[in-house]
Amino acid sequence: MSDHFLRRATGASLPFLIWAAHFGFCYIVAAAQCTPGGWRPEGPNPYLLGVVTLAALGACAWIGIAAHKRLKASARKEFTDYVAGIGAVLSIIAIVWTGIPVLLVRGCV
Amino acid sequence: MTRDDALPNSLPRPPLELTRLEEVWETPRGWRFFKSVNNTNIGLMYIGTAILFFILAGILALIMRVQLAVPDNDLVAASTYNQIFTMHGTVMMFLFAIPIVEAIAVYLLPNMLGARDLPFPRLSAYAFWCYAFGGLAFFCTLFWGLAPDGGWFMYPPLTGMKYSPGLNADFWLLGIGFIEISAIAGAIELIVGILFTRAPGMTLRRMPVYAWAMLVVGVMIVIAFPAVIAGTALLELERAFNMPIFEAERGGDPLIWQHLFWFFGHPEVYIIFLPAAGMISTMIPTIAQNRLVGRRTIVVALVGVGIFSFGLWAHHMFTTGLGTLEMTLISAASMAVAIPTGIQVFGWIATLWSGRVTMNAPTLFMLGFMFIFVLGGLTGVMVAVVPFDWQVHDTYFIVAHLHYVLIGGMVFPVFAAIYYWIPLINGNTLSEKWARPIFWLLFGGFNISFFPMHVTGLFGMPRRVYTYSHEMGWDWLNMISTIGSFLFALGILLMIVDAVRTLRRPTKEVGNPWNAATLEWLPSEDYGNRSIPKITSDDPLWDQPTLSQEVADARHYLPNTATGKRETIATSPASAKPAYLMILPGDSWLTVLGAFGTAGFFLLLTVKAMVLAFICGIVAIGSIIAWLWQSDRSVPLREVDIGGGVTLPVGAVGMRSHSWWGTFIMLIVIGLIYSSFAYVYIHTSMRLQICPPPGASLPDTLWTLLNVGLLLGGSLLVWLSDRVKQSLTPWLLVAALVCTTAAFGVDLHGWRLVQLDSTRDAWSASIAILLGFQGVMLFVLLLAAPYLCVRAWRRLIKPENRATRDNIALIWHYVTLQGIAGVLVVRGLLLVME
Repeated sequence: MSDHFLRRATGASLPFLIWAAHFGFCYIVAAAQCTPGGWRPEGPNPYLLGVVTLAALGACAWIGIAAHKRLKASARKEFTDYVAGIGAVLSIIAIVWTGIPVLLVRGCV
Repeated sequence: MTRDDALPNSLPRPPLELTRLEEVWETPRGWRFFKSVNNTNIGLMYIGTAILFFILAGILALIMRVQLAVPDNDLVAASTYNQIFTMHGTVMMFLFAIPIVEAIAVYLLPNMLGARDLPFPRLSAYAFWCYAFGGLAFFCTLFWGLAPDGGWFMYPPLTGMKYSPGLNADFWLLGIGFIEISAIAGAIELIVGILFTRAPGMTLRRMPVYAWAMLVVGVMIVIAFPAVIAGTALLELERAFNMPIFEAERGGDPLIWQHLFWFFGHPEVYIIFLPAAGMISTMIPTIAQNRLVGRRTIVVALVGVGIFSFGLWAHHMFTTGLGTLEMTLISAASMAVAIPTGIQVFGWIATLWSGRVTMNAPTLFMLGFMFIFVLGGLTGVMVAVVPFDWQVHDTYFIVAHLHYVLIGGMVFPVFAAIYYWIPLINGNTLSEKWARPIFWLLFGGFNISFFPMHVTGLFGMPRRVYTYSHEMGWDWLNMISTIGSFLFALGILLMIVDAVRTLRRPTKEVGNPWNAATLEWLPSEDYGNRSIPKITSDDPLWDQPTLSQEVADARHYLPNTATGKRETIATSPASAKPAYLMILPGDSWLTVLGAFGTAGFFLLLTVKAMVLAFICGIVAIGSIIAWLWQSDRSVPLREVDIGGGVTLPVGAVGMRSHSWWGTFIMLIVIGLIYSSFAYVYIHTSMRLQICPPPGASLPDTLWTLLNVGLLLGGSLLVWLSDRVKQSLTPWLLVAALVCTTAAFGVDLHGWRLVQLDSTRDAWSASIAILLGFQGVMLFVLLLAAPYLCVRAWRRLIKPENRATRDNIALIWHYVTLQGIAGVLVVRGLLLVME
């Protein structure tokens, strides 16, 4: 791994990983808070999920902007920056999309 | 300096260099061909076997269509029909679709990457033979009425012991379960091969889009398949040992199966679509004679589709009573995945639009793919809408949708690929004259067959019914579908005839018949390319027009066999700089024998022929150990000159070595199987009002602490065994094995004291399964530790030959980690729930 492959691969795919973490977190919270044990009988906590959604969007936006700046600043275009930049755009769309139900849906059933 | 001077090697070459290279890589002739492990040969056998299963499953489809052609038909009985549709789906998905995409990859990638071969050819051969033996035996169950009959996704409780008491379901669970292991073996080969054996200069940015697709698919297989392996193991454990994981009466939940199955099953759709997308992205620039528009964006889209596809599994479960928020999240993700998929489609259209398209056979099939797949994608967005899905769930609308996606998204691209790449086999192309009627039979037959099914489904016809009454009004739609299916079958028949004719023609020089840009069209023999090319662009054969001649003239890297063995250049994963010389294993019957033993073990276990099954198991383990024994050996040279002033070490150790990465990926798979079992424990616990359930309890903390202490002690001793005199190494390993075995014994004892009964309730069963899986890993160490000791005693562990040692140590530390993680999950969840 002389060329820092793992670090570069993780950095490039970070926006997608953030989407996965956000999606997994929302799904698990929704499922856990509506278990038969009734952790939160009134339904998944929209404030918790809303804050996490905003945080995920912020992180992706930051990664995307940073990648864009590096691409503009450097004469030698790094492929990983390009992947991170486009990945950030795709992930932001996907997080916004999966974030809409968090705002709209109430209750467990 | 001219380009000629800049090439790594000069002319003339030493007189015996080529002869030696040919000898080392020569493919055995006659019946010995079957011991060949070269991925190019394995790939051909793999493709042939997968097509055989496609034909067999297609015949089953035709039987179904004849049965449904008219109402109240009694051609096949209901029970036979159940077996036929189950086998059709199972064989198409598990024995055709996944294998053929891996098969095409192991065939194409060595040459496309500029490697002599991929890193683990024996693993590929073992995976292929497991699949071939296991698959054929599995298919034959149909002739004895023992074929599975619970549908290709085998939902419990229908497939539990109560409603399916025969062996039919067991054949699915054990047969398919182990064939999936071979898919994982293929994925490890592909991931490590793509990362380590690319030609020097072929950076990630320059890597062919097809290789990108297969890299993403390899990672997806590693993440998705453990869930179905865990699911099949759980259902088999329930059936064989009465462990009520899916039985609601004893605290289980049939939805656990659906979550595990579809966590595999939905990404699987993309696992077979993305390779097809990769092939399309490789073929379209050639037929348009134009660079792929948005190449980098298409690569990112491939990665995006791969990751987003894991958020879609529950859209197969909208009618099971999931919570509203969960369903809408999944629905949203199902629509989000359309964006990166759309990016690829628009990239292809733009490439065609701005190029000079030749309307030949591959073009026709690619256009057919786009039309059919886009329609399938659109109905996919429709069924992602929850209320619409409720209306059409389990109707023929879904049958139409899935066939539009799978045949459009995968079969048509594979046909295009066959037309495009078949000249690589013997230099001959398929007939262009025949291609047009074949295409129209396939395209027309497909649409005539499957488009009416949308309507049949909207009229309410459920899938999987063996007949229907005239009053339902589905007669004419079904008759049209049946006519279409036979037109499609005729197209397939003509294509096979043409392929056989073409393959029987005399071999001629392959050349570059389509003027393609990728390296598989370089002159190639058993050893791959005469020399390993130095790559300087995205489209090497277009931008380096003299490359073919230079490579054939042995002007590029490693034009010889430096060590007298099979070898290739390992390059760094990101920037593809030459890193070390990778020694590759030679041909062997051990892979065939090992696969035969493995298939025999699982299939004989199904019919409860225990003695024979265990004999087969011993044969399998013995063969694998014998094959491993031959690896990781010294070679006379420590460094070799590959040309261009580049001197490489022979082999590598630790994280720089391909074998370390192979083991690491295998451990990720094992870790994900264990995680699936942990999920079952969490799921069953969270369904309880009181946890642990009445009658069950946790063992005393003392036993848990002792277990953790002994596990850590075992790992510490393994770590120390590498830092003492070699004569002491085996003794420390023995002590470590005692510690790890004792840890398991202590854990088991603690649970026995609290009378853990795996048949009492699902919670207890889930604990027993976590415990049992730790036992399975201990069994691996009980084999691996003595093996390593013997190697140490035989002085086979040296500073330059320590892959065996490093890999076994890695497995050992993983077992420790797994044991501790199990403790944390079991006890931690209860703390959280309190």
